[in-house]
Amino acid sequence: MDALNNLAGGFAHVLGGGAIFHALWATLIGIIIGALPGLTATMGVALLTTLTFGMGPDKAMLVLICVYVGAIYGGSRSAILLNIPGTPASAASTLDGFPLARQGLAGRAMGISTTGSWFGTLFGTLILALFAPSFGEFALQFGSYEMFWVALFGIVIAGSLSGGDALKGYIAGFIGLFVATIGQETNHAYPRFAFGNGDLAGGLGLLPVLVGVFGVAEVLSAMRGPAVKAVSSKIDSVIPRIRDVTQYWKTILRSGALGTFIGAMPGLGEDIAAWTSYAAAKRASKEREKYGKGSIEGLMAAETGESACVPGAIIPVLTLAVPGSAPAAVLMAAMMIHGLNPGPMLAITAPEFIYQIVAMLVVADMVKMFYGLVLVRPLLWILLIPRSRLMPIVFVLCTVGAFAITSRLFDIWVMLGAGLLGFVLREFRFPMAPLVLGIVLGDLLDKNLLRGLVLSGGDLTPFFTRPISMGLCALTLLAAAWSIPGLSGIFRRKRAVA
Amino acid sequence: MSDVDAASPFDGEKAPTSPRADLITAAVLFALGVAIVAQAWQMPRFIEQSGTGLTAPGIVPGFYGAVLSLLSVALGLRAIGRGGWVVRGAATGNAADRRQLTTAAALGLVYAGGMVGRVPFWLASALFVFAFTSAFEWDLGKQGRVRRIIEAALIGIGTGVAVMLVFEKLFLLRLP
Amino acid sequence: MNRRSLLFAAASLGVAPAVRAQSPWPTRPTTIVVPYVPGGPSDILARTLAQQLNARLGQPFVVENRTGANGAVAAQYVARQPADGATLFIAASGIMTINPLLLARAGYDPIGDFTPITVAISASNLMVVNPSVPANNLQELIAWLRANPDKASYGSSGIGSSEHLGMELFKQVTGTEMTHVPYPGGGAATTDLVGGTLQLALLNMATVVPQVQAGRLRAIAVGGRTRHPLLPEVPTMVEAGLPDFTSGSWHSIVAPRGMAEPLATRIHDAVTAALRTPDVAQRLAATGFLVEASSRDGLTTTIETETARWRDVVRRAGLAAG
Repeated sequence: MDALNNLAGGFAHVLGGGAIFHALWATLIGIIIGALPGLTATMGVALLTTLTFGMGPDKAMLVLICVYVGAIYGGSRSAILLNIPGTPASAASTLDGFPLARQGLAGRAMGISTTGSWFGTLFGTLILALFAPSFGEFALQFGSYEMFWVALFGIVIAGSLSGGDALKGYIAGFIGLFVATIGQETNHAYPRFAFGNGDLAGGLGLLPVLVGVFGVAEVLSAMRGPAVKAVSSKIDSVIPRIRDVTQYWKTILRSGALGTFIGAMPGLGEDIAAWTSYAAAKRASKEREKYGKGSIEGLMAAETGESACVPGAIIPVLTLAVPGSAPAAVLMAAMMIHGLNPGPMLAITAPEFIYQIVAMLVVADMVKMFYGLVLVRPLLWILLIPRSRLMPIVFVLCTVGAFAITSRLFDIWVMLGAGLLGFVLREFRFPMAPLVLGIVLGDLLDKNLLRGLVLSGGDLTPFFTRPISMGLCALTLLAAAWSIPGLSGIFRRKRAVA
Repeated sequence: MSDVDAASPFDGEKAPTSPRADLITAAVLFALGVAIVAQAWQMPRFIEQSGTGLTAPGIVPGFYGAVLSLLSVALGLRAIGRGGWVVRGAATGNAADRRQLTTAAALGLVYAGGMVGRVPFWLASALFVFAFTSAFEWDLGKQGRVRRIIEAALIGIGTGVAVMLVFEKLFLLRLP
Repeated sequence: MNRRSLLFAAASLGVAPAVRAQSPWPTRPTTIVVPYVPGGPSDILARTLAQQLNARLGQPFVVENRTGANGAVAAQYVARQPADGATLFIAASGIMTINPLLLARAGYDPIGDFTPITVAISASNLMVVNPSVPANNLQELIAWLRANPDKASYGSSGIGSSEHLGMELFKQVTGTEMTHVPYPGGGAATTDLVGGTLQLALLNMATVVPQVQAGRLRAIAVGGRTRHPLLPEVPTMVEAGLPDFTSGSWHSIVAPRGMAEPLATRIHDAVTAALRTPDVAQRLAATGFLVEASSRDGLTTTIETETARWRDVVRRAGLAAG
């Protein structure tokens, strides 16, 4: 009852004085920033931090949380409609979202995305309200050794994402892993594959590469061949269906739990949450063959996972003063600027603040649902714009997006290079998802392996003997065995017998 | 669920590549893998500083390069199994297709690689959108061409100005 | 033309340059270049200043993040800009003192390429240990490290950070040996320090104070010249027995080289006034920074003395790239 009272207090506190107005504009800005390729949730929260300096701490936090929630959700609009993820978090949503749109079901796809995302944030917020302290403690157990296994586990299960041609999927994945090693390594700052170039020594940014392989490559793909007639959306419905939820409730719960958990781990963000939820859903699915061709379950899993990650990433901010993701890091900085000292002392100095954050997340989630319903129709108009007019604008936005984070012309070159390479690879039927995932996980794997080895003085045993490491190692081996066709057949038969 | 079960109209896109194309990609990827391994081998090992050879910067990328080479050999062998060099795929696309692709790629390169950073961003974007739209709508026939070109110019200027206003004034970002 | 108007004309002629010096900012917006990604201390400082200066001078200030090569990309860029007041640079201590020592070719000269404006803010580093380390003060820590050479690992927020070099200096003056483990940021290092994979670290105050308050880390000594208001019971390194030992970081504001004195002075006055606003000082203090707002010469002196000190540390630790 106490928690309920606190929560009611949190809502009463948050909802006063024009809060709904602030939530409405902030979430919309977030959705727009998220939907523009290259502008990320991190950037959105950072930009709005400046604009909210003058506001009181409560209003400022509400605005920033709305932007964060909105941006993660907004990234999927462009993923579904254009096959271009607006933020790295939405890359997994292109896999099934875009095929659905091409079948004339863009409205329904956005409806699924809205419900999935809504449930995800709500689920994560619930965990935040109930278990924040213990969840934070657990996240602290993940050091360099454990993170190495998390990355390796991700790479092993990523094999299942490639769809048709597994061999080409693995090749694309290893190209991605290789790309992640370009630039200075962590221990000695030795610039790998830089050839004396200062820009290359800094490494290739995930964002320009992502904008390239999805954005630029998509513009090129769209412009070849005869114009595709706008698909009639007669069979399409824009209202989210109850049945999509009831049918896939297991997927929603699993993705929500995975997303929140990954969010709570420092160093893992929304992108990994979405990929992991997607891969896990595919593994558990009865309709695996539909994945990659417009699976409702797959899209739901990705959306729920990435949105559950948002409250998840805020958990360690509140309990440990350690951010769970890049946007959460900026959010934490903003909290400090406003004199709200997040961290272990919060539960003692200002316990009500945690409930206020919960209330803000719920408000942001509700507003997101509102826009989810209202914006579908206007967004569908994008599909009616002829490609000769839409694609150059998309290309301009990609260029801005690649440039915006670091203001380097080098990143525009990276975008162009990645775009052309991505287009050629796509022409030869190499899937892009493992490539992007390889870049994301490769960085994690490389840094944590090298750091772990320095920590242990070159000794490999801590990778296997620390309790959580041991568990993760077993899980990884199991997943690897599962991917070998013959073995997984045995597993499945056993399950059928049982 | 029936609407999703309906055959995707884009099955053609998922058609496998020809063995010959796979052989070429396998060769290129093999060369890439070997080059990565060679580069990784030449990296300093930092054995003195770290007291262990395991943290040498070349190990991880070297491993990736080796796996990439092995996978590309597998791809090549599979292509040979499917008939090898002699089996060419159906010609991908026709001349119009290729022309469109080249136009889009060339315009993109000139814009992002050449004009951005030298010409004011709004102007570069306006010109790019105008050129792109009018190039692809030229083929729609004489009727209404003037109108389409005027529209393209308006869309171009609109994009340039809107991008500048939204990003520089609202989001306070710098444009190239 | 009578004498009076002649005088007036002469006077106005003489005054004209002064008037120009009084309103020196160009009409185009002033860009504050930040060498790191949004969200970090430099970014927060830049955005706070931009907002303040904007309100005070009625002139638009835009923040621009130019990242890469530990800030060298931004420094090289700013060094090439005209010194007309349209470009200011948030130069972190690492960029102005450590980078040029570590990199073979930094591509800029911290003294020669910039016009100094002010040391804006500073933060002390705090020596913390995991509670499992049997040491409650600096002397016990040094004794424990000497008894266990090469057993301990310390974390930092990256190669060449003030936290890394501060610890190398500590090793040199105390004659201890331990392994350096660089992290992509102080937060990640803190996680491993709390988790016990690292034994100690000299980390930015703001990053570790919450953990110290919660008893997850033990504070040994502060790297500042004075004790820190957030942890008044923790002694400074000097009080704890290491003479001359300080470790911390600061952020300065500089402009491209060759700026006219009156303009540089005017910028200095506007920036320091903005920094001293109670609201700004309070916000920056919340992120662990103390406002310095030093004189222009103060910045030059700081750069020179620190560079001399770190040059010695870098050489003895064998860190220079050549």
